[in-house]
Amino acid sequence: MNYVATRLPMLDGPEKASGELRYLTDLQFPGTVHGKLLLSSHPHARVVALQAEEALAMRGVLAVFWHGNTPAHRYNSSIWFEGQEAIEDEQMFPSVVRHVGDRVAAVVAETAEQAEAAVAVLAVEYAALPAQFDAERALADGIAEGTPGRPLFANPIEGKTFRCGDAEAGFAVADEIVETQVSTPKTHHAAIEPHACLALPKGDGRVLVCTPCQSIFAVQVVVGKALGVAASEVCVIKTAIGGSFGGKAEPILDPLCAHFARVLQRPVLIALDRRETCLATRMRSRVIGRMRTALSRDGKILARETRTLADVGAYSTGGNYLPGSMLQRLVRLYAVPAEDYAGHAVYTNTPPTGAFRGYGSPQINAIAEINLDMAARRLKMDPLALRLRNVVAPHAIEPYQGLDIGNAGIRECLMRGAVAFEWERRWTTAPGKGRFRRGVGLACAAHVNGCYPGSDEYSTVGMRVTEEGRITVQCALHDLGCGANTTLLQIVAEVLAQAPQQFDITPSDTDLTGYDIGTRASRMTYILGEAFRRTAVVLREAILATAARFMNCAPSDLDLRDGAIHRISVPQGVTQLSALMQTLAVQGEPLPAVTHTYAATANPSSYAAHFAGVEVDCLTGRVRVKDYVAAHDVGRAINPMLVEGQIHGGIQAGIGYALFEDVEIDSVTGVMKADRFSRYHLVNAPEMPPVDVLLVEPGEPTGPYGAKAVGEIATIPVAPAVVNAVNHALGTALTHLPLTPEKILAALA
Amino acid sequence: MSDVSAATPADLAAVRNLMAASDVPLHFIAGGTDMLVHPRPFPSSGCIVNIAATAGLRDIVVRDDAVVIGAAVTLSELQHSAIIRARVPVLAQAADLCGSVQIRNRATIGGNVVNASPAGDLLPILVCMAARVSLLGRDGIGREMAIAQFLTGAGRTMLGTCELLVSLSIPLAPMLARAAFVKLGQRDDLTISRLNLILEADFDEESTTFGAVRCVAGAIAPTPLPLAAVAETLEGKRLSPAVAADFLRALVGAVDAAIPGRLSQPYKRCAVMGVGLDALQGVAGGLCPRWEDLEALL
Repeated sequence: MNYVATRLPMLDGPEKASGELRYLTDLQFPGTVHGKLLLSSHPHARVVALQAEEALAMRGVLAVFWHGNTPAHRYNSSIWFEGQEAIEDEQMFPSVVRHVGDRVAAVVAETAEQAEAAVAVLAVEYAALPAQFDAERALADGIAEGTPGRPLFANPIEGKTFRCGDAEAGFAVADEIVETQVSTPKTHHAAIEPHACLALPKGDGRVLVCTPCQSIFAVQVVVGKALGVAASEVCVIKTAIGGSFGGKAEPILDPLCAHFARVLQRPVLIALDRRETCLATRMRSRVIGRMRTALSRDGKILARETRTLADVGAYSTGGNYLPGSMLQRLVRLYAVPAEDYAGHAVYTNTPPTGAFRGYGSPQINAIAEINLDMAARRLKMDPLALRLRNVVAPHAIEPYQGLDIGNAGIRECLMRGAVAFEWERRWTTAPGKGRFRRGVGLACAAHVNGCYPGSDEYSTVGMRVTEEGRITVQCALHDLGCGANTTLLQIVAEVLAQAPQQFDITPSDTDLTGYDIGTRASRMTYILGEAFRRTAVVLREAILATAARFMNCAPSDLDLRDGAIHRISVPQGVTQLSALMQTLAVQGEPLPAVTHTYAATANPSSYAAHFAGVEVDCLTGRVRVKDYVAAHDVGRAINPMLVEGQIHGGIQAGIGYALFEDVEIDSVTGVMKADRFSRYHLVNAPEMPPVDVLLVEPGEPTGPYGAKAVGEIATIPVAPAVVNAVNHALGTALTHLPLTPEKILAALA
Repeated sequence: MSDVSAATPADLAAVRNLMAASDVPLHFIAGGTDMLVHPRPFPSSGCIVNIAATAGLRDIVVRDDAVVIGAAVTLSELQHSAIIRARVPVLAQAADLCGSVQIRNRATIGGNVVNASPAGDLLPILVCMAARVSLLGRDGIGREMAIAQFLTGAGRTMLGTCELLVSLSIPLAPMLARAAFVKLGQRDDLTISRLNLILEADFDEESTTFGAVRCVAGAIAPTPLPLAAVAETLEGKRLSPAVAADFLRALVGAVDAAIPGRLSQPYKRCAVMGVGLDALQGVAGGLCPRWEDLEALL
């Protein structure tokens, strides 16, 4: 291997580090005007009237948009292909606002300052409606906007029930039944770049949307729906993205910008600030889970009963499939003979939720892994031994979708991680009785690789060789800053025996690049990597066939390596690829070019076992994570350095999920308290423990060079590992995340 | 916004000239780390006067038995100043706990004082050490007052319209031999104080006995709260587990009295013991009793 399994620095790293890379708000288009949103101050209210005269009279103001003058087409911003079934409950400007931060109106002006000043003088008349902020009460009461005959906003949005095996029998013969209630907070993605979008009217009558997004084709479809025009009226280019974590998976500003640009025939930019990004985009859903596990005395899980309630906020987005997503991940980790699962998603008058690193997995995994630690405590059993007793075997068939889980390396993750962490010694060490108590915790996780067997899980990749012998790659790629492009080029570099620097990626553009559903569901390395590998294999064959013709030999006598074509039978018979391409060009011969579509055939799991050591200050309630071991089955690491980077970042986010992060919606007013970084606390560098990453690489037969995903799973086991460690240190049964100092002291009191 | 002008006076004389010559409101700005934070309203008229580099506001000197610190001295400079580290080391330590490196490179001691945040980290120290502020009025007349008098509430001070804070002076004479500053936030670093405490004391290691003691808490009242009753639990006493327990008990009492019924009271009344114990350890070092020896006494 020359390129796969090497620690190649991110190819766009120097551009980012030097500041040369231009993000959307760095780009300048002549004549650009600026939009500023007016966000609702009410959690639920009818927008009766808007006084805009004063604003419209202000200097530079071009237009004020609100529901009174904007198309009211309903849409769902989470869809990614035409015809995808989803609850269409969103509008550009709803006549009934459904959360504090919902969109009431927007001013477009020549400058951002003028737009902001004009928004400040807009007078809105609201007619307040009763609001519901509590998921459990929302489930009981329903929530409705009071329009007869319209099923929108009725609770629950969706339920998912699933049973396999004989759960009753499992509970009947159990030696121990352990029940735990766990709740997880609403959290903010905290990408460095706040949301922004720019739309430009095109000369051909279409509208061009430039957006840091996760799927250009999803943006195209959603904008078309919102504007009531064909998707083909909209073209989309992905710009450089300053982080996403799922937060930019749904087009939020895009329909507005596109509409304003079409109406005003000017380029329109909307750039949110941090507070607006907190209030008016998406976040991670809050989930309340109850799990009851039946176990035999020796730690075998006999049956599980799981109930989940997801608060998805004011709009459904993808909330209708969230209970199913949680189930999908739950059943991939342990061999449980009987499952009884029921999950519901409900609306509340809080900001809407959507994709967020792991989509449901951090929630369901926290519920299950904290429950399992409580079970270990009850059984007086080492939590490591309990897990080893139950983890899935390679190529098991999971019970929900009946899919092969692939070459699962969870057992090796647990065993190697335990040795590196010195689990056995530390688990049996008393936490101490003084002010500072030490504890250890572990948690496992499983996560999917792509959307298979769901619809549209395919990718179309084009590759062609240029006259200089460089290779141009065309596919709708959405590197979110994690180094996906670097990883993908390492894969094709391996096949084509060309350095990754010899490739040029065409920026994602709905007019130019092949179809792909975008960055979601941990599909970049596993699905796109394989699509790239296969396309490169086809291109290699095309290159060798062409070369064979010119060199008058059989293709089987040729090999492609180091940018040159080598004749196997003639030691000196070397032709540089660039020389061959120039010859072809001069002679008017076509240069090798291929397009290949790859559709996924499997959906194996990635696995991880995480081990956390914590110290708790019993006087201040502060928890410090002192050291950390993360063992990951990634199939095979295409770029171990980038894989480690993903894991470090996942741990940073996961510790925040366990200890700090919560947007804190006021239970009376619906106002978000932690809508800025002085109140919304992320784990920063001084708070990070030293992290030891272990890569378990059993190889996944269906993955490119054996690779599986790492981006999402890296954050999934972190919070329960930390919570379990805190409970180990204190002898507590804390289950409501995040474990703030207040909760810790209250538990000790 | 077009009505706003800007000026960057080179020295104090230029500031005086500007004050005398200008009839619009003057808004002094140094690091801008508070003033420029959205959504704080930016002045819509008058003159923004950038004093970040104004000579005469940038010095740290010892004069008339006091350490005099110019208002535009940054927290980084405070942190690294040889004079501060030798004469008021606790102030250098506290500066190090403020914000990030980038913030500390911009933010000034003057800004920390005039912004008068209840969570301002330097304020309890300045109050504890009886610092005095030196002000320059628009009429060119200076005045001076104790910082405890200057700070009147959360975000409120005695600073007059267009008046400039020129410097702070910390008298050396009443300074006690040891001092410890402890800050409790949500995180260890880059965090806003939920509670902070300075304990200043004369402490004789031989006899393990306290002489004079002063103690001031921050973030539990609109302005730094001198805790005389807390200091009394240590003053003249030999350090023992019982005395340490008295000290912690008094701190809990002080929190209860400062924020009765507040949502944060149950947390802070316990957390203050952790902060207090750290402060006591900062002053008495290894002679400070351990929590294990105190727990039963409380």
